[in-house]
Amino acid sequence: MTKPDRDDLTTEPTEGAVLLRQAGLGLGGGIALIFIAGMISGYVGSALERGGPDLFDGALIAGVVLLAGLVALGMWWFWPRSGREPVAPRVQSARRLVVLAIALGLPFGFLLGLSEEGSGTLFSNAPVSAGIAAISMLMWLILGPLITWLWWQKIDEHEAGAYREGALVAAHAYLFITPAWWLASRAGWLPQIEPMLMLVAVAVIWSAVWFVRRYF
Amino acid sequence: MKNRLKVLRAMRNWSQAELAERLDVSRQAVNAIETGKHDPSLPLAFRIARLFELPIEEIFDDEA
Repeated sequence: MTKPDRDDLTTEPTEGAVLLRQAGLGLGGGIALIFIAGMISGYVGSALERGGPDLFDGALIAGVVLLAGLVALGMWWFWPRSGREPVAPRVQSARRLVVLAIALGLPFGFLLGLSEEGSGTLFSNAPVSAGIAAISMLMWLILGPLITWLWWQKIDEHEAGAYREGALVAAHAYLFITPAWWLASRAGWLPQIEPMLMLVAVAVIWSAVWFVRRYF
Repeated sequence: MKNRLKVLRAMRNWSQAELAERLDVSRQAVNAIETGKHDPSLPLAFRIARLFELPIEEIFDDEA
């Protein structure tokens, strides 16, 4: 008899369900932590403007830090875990590269969001300083492609197929949506085409197809 | 394409993860091959055949 796999056990949640729960917890907890971090930095800033944090400010900040700790603990506590199963070397390498990409991208995105130059939003067209532009371009044009290429070398053919299919669907979505939006804006029905919104739409479609083809 | 991967794996008492590790692919790839959602490439089919010490046509059935 074979050892039980998650897919063989009807009582176990499917891998897709586990991943959705992880994504929900990660996104929800992550947004909560970012919100709390912003709250702390804003409160500390206003306290400094008033001449420095007093005892009440200190207690309040400690309470909010404790709340952040509880959120992090909750994420860890409720995080769905699978049993220890062997993982192929190439899968481990691919996972490490994903973690590296997140470790590089998240703090930078967080800092960009907090900086007033970025206007706190991905869709802002406000001017940015040369320093922010240079670092962002370095990430997008050098680190991004390099990590993606290394990751592409490590994934197996099944995941590569899912990724290719996602790319194909996303490319067609871009091909059909962009001219339609462009014409609609010329007719005065929609605002001017927003490249960053199109980028997000393409990325979401690509990721969704990849996710479904890989895990379902 | 039908295949006997799950039966062959069962005969060796391997989990999907253990077979995946031996083939240097993800567990999801093994699951997709077993359920017929993914047809392996020729190089991977040869790796599977070598691992089970069987000819490819005894593992995969292209008639289905």
